[in-house]
Amino acid sequence: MTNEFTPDYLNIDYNTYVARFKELLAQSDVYRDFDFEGSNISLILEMMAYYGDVNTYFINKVAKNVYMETADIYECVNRLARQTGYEPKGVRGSRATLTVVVSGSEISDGDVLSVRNWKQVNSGRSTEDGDSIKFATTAIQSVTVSGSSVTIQVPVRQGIVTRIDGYTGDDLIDNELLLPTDYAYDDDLDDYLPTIEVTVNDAVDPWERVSNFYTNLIPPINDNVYMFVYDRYQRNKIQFSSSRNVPVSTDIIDVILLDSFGPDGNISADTSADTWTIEDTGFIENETTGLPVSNDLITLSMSAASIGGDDAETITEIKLNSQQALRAQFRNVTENDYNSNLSARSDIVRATAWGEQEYAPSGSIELYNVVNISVIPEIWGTATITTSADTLTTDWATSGSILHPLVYSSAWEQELLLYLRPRKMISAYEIFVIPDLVYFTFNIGIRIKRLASFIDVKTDVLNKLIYYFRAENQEFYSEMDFNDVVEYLLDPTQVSTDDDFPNVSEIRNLNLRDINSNKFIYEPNDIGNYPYWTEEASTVSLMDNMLRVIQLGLNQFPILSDDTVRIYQEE
Amino acid sequence: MAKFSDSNYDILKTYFTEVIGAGTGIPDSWLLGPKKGIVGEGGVYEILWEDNPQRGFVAHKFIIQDIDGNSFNMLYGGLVSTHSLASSAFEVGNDFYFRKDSFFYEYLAQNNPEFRDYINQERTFCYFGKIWPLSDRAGVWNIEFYGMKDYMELAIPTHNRTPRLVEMMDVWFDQINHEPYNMTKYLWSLLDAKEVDLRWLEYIARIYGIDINIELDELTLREWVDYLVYFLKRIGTYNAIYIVYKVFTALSTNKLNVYERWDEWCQKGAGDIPSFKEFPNFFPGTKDFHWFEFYNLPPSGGAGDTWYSQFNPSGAPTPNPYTIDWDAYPTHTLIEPSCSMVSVAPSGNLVITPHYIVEVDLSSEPIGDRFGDDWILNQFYADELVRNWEYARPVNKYVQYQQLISPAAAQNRTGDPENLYPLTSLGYFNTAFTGSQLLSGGAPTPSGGEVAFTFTQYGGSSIWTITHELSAAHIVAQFWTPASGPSFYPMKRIIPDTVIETSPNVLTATFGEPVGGIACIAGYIPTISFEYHQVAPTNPWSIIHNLGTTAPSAYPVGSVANFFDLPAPLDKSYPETVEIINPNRTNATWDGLETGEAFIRNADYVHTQTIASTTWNINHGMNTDGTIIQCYDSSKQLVEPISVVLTDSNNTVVTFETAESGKAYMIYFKRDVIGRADCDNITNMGMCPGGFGYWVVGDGGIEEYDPYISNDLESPTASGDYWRIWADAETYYIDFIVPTGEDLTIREVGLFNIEGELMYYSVCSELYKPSDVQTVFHYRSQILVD
Repeated sequence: MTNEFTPDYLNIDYNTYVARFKELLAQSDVYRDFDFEGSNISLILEMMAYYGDVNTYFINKVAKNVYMETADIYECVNRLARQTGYEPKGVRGSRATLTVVVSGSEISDGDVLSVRNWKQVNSGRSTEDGDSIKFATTAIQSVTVSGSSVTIQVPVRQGIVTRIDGYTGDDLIDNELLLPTDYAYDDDLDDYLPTIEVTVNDAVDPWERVSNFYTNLIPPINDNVYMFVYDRYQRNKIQFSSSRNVPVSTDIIDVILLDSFGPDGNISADTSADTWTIEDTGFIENETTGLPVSNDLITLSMSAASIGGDDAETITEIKLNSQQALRAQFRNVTENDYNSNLSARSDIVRATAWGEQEYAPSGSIELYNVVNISVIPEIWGTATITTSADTLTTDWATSGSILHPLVYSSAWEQELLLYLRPRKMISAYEIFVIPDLVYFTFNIGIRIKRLASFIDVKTDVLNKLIYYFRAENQEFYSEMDFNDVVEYLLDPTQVSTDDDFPNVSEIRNLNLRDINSNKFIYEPNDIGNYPYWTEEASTVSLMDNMLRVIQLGLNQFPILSDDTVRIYQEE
Repeated sequence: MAKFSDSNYDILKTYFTEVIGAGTGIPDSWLLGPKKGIVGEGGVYEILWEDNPQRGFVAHKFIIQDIDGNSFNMLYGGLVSTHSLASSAFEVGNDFYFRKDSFFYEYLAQNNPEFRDYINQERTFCYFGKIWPLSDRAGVWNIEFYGMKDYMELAIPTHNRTPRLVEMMDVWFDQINHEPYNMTKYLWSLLDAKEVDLRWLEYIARIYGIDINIELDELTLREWVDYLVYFLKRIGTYNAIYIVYKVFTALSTNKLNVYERWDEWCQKGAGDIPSFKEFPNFFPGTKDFHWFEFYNLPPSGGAGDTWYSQFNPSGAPTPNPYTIDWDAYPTHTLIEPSCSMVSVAPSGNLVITPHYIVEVDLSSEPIGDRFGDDWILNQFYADELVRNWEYARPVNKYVQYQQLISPAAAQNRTGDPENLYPLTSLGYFNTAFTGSQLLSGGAPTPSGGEVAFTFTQYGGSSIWTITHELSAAHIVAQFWTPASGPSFYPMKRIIPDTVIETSPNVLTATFGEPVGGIACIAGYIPTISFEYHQVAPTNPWSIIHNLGTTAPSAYPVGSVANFFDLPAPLDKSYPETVEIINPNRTNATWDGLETGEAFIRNADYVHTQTIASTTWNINHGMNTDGTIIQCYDSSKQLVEPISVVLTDSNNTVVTFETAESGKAYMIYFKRDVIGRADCDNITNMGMCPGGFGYWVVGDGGIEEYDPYISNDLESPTASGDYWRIWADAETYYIDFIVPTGEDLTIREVGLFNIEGELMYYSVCSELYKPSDVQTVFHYRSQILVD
């Protein structure tokens, strides 16, 4: 650790000052025999020492708070974090999903219902202090009734809806609006649900909250934006920017916020004893009839615990998070940038990007400034990448579920380009390349322990293999080393989030007897034929061929043909 | 330990006693601005902000009553804040603050710079003290000061607190030590762009390696520094370029354009044959594509739809009216093409290059509007844009910075200027079609055997000096002025006080007051006009001209006449009556014997008014630019109407005092028979790309300057060839580029034809072009329509 100098950057306290002062005065001719105790001069002496002590305190504080690692004043930590591009977070409310069932005479088949925003529901639970834990909707959600009732999954956030109306532009100072400090405002910006709503002059469209004022600066631009920040004095404030729009003195600013319990708002899933009640009228409106649905026709329940409620970030949390923020960029330069940027979308599992370095290291005009991008969508189809059916035939089985990607949906491709453009480097040419799915299937022989169930072991091996080949666990342009596959299957510590594959431990011996792919595997080459074996066939014995590593192409992605995997018991 | 007041006691005391001290001031009066109302008699309100945990900051009005030690006794004046949580019932013991926009801050910053280090004047709120009621004074509250002096005094035993010691400590801790104490307290503000003293703001920027210019608007500058990290995390992207534009143009409605440059794969032919495309090849060129195009978004901006249509993502409109090679956004060539024929023609295989253009379209508004000033783009902001854009440029890219401005113009006869910007703008870009003088006043070129001339008087003048070059012994002239507004029609006839041919081909007309307009002048043509000489004194004159029999059949029977004293044609004379006896004879009667000359010219149109009326509506259908008209009553006597108005090029309204019937004789004037054959078509008059005509920019442009007279700019600084000129049905588009290479302050622009005649003259607010920036002009001139 590098904080050894703190807090003793200057280690002189009041008593030391007094003692040193007396000692040095005693060495002078004037004060040599002077008895300071009770004298008038001691008054000045003590006062100077007192002041010196205060100074020392300041000096030590300053020294400690020069560096992020040793800073211990929130004000300084907050400021240092912002220098790295990290906005420290305030209190975050807990979020949950309510199951809302509406039935009764006020709705009919085909009616459109809307769950209104900023409506409060009471969980029936209380904090340790006895305060009711309430949640609120913060966004409008519409559904169409099918039949005589409808069930809606409604996301809610914990907090009491707090409205402050009638601010004017005159309440802003330096483009900032400081909010009352007694509330623990829900500051969550990571959730897709809003936690705050700011409207100006009763406009239909609220202003947009941004993480920083340089986001969403791609035309057409909405300049009606604000930041909701937790500042270095631990106050919540709404910030506007001169580079975007700022309400003027005649504008009326209305604010809706959530006063949250933070971590105390995290509650467990409902038990049979729990009952939710709707606190506000008009929780659901029947858009078809134009009438609100009576609250007594609505039942609420929560099947999973609410999560995410937290206090304002501590100094330690800010230090950790700001280090990560320092490395984060708002531009796509590397393959990792593209992968993380695109994979952040819910409709993309994996992405890759490559350029001249990988493609044509000898250099070629055709690849100057070109960024090739390939993605694996969450769902294949006409909305993303259309596919055709293909087959994979092995000696032991044939699969009819092989997908052969054909073409990007032009709308989706355009959507992805628009998504990428805030981060596109100037004069880079981004093109989407169809991913090439390389299916693998295996013929696996296993020997199990004496008392183990082969069926159970087989099931777990197959499930673990499927998990291994899940798209989120694989990468484009990877090397398929089958030793890795075997090691992974046999390693009992390699588990998924919802399956420990316990019966894998019953394996005594596992052999990949045969490996098949839907692609021809080329011999090693540098002319761009993928996939290829990374070793010449001549360098390994025929019996070892199956264990040669396969290098996939830049747009090739490994996938498991699971319905053709053969697992049999060897004696 | 209680919270210390941010100000020291001495400043507060001085402020409240000597600056806004209590008195009999005007209720609700305010002190605003530096050095205003610094009076002791005022007794004005001070706005103080209550920091109420439940209500937030709430503003209240107070008037200082007196100061008793640390107690600042204030009369409550009411609630200022209007938001829903605000209440006048503030809570006892709450903290009260001055806000940054208060007069107290003004007092500190403007009037007393020596207090600079005593209080952090950049903080949004400055703590004053807690509020307490005064039991014996209704409506008066005590805001209690507490500072270092009080804290230190408490460290002294009570019995030692002698007045002298206390006074000494007050002086030290309140007036001397408060300054370093304050500076120590705000050490951590040195890293806060919003709170740091402006003196040290640039040190924060330098953490990021960015130099700032302290002359920028302070709040904008502080925000720029505050968010620099978010800019730096985007450098190299379009977004970073746009951030700089947003910050430094203060929400301007102008548009930022970024173009990515593509080029041919095959750059050279065999041997030393150079590339068929010069490099760099920013405009003119067709291989620069708007950044939007890639995303299938049509760009737009103040330069107009036509300009931006060339960046239509799908290429030029079909059919392409402009015959300009506009390409759709290309596809990157991914297969090596054959380059064997590259020296002959482009291969058409494009690849994206590391070159790009950053351009501000200045055509929507002068950016100076955003700063309350009258420039389009001044040097400071032009330099700042480029300087900060450079921070965003990847080192291996080449950028061309560019301004685009698209002046509005109209090809008209009056030379009235068009302003690019709304009249509400502080800046301007006015363009006059100075070629209008060629439409009407250039050297006449007889066409079809006719000689006629239209002169335009631009701007009001009581003396019109008309150089017509008709070289005729006798002429007929009439004068017209716009009847209302700036438009050409309606035109009403005006009669000069005098019309004198002061020398051959020069006619001088004088008016009682300054007036502008046109003069229509017809000269002698043998077959349709007649000169009569009366040498011996005679009355009446019997003028047998025989025009009725000799004139071509296309001409109607009838004529107009003008009379001159001798020696003709210096002075015009006026007979008592003029009577058309028959198509070949006109009589003039005088009040005595008279000598002189007469000039008779056949009419091009004769209107017959059979029913007597005070108003003759003449639909002559001549499509004329003006006319000379004479009216005769039913007795064939010349009569003078009260007014003659040309309502448009085909209709004239004549008004008499009493109802008249008779005939009106009119002469046809049309510019295609009076002047330059192609002067209404700028594309055919020597304003063409490729060395025909040229542009000039200058830094003159004073209001009094008359480009018509000098046929030049007031202060030319640079010139060059046009890039392209083309037209659609309504508009001429004249494009040229003022290239990089020198700093220019552009305040005037002239467009010349091949003969060096000034066709358009623009005068504008300051438009600064740094040497590393080029300026693209895209003139849009409405085509004259009659």
